Amino acid sequence: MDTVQISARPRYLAGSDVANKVRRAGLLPGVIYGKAFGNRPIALEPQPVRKGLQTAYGRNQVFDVVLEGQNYLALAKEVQIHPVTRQLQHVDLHVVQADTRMIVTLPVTLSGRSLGQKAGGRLEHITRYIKVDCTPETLPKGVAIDVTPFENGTVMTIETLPLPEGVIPVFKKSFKIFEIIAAKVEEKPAEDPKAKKK
Amino acid sequence: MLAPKRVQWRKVQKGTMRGVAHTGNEVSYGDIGLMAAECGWLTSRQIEAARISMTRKMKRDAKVWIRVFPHKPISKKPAETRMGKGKGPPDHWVATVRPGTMLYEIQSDDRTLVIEALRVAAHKLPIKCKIISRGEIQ
Repeated sequence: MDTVQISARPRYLAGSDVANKVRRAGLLPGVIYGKAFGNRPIALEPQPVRKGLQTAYGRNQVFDVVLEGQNYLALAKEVQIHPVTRQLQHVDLHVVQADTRMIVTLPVTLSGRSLGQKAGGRLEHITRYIKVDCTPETLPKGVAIDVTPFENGTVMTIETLPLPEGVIPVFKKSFKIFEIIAAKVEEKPAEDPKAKKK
Repeated sequence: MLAPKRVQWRKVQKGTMRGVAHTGNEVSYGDIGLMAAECGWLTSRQIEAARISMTRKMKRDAKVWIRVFPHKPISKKPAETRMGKGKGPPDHWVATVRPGTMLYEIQSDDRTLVIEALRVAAHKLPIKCKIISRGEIQ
């Protein structure tokens, strides 16, 4: 488990007005909560949070939050991004235990050009995110599939998905991840043998 | 060109375009999207022109999603008509976009070609646009 350390300071007032003041001061407003922890508004340095969310783990990066001298493991439960500037607006941190199971959303990425696509087929990426049950220690970076060896008509489902040990998918086993559809071939109308003779 | 099949009201008021897009502002279907950086009206012709330029650049090697639809009718008085005598007949359809609205999305293996296609498409539109990747944070 790779963690990114971020330092947080408590924020004693809540609300949008206070949050805007925190943003104007160059900090990122957030909230940290968890089981037997309660919820506490916090202010964070935006740069380490942004860098942490852009690692290979993406939104599932486990943060090591230092709050008032104590360390907590936390996951970004919700990240608010400004629609135009695409800058971080607010982050919800969920305190987790290293050995407690939790449900996380993993991104499914496809790479390469399949044999089916080279033969004129079309790759349909149906599911981009899957929910899995795992612990922060067994949390994978994501599901990366190299589609190069697959031919037309291949259907990958949750059942056939290569997942690491200890990671259990929550979705139905028959749920499709991707499909390679063969190109439609237009059938030429059969010519009349009589017409040829004429 | 895109146009509604039927509408409840033939003519509508101009309306306002205040604020930013609170919905439809993320790359939801493809890998890269074209985002409106300012507000404006996109006519159905402009939406179609941008789509055509994009698909021509990609040479049918990509999947394209159009995320906006021209729901709003714009009326126009006929040429050489005296003022008054009521609002003119509907002329064309527009989509009202706010800053942050995702206009198009593309899914393809060739990322550089996708960016080039979106850049070309942005030139067909009357507003400033930005190319955004899925889950991008700046």
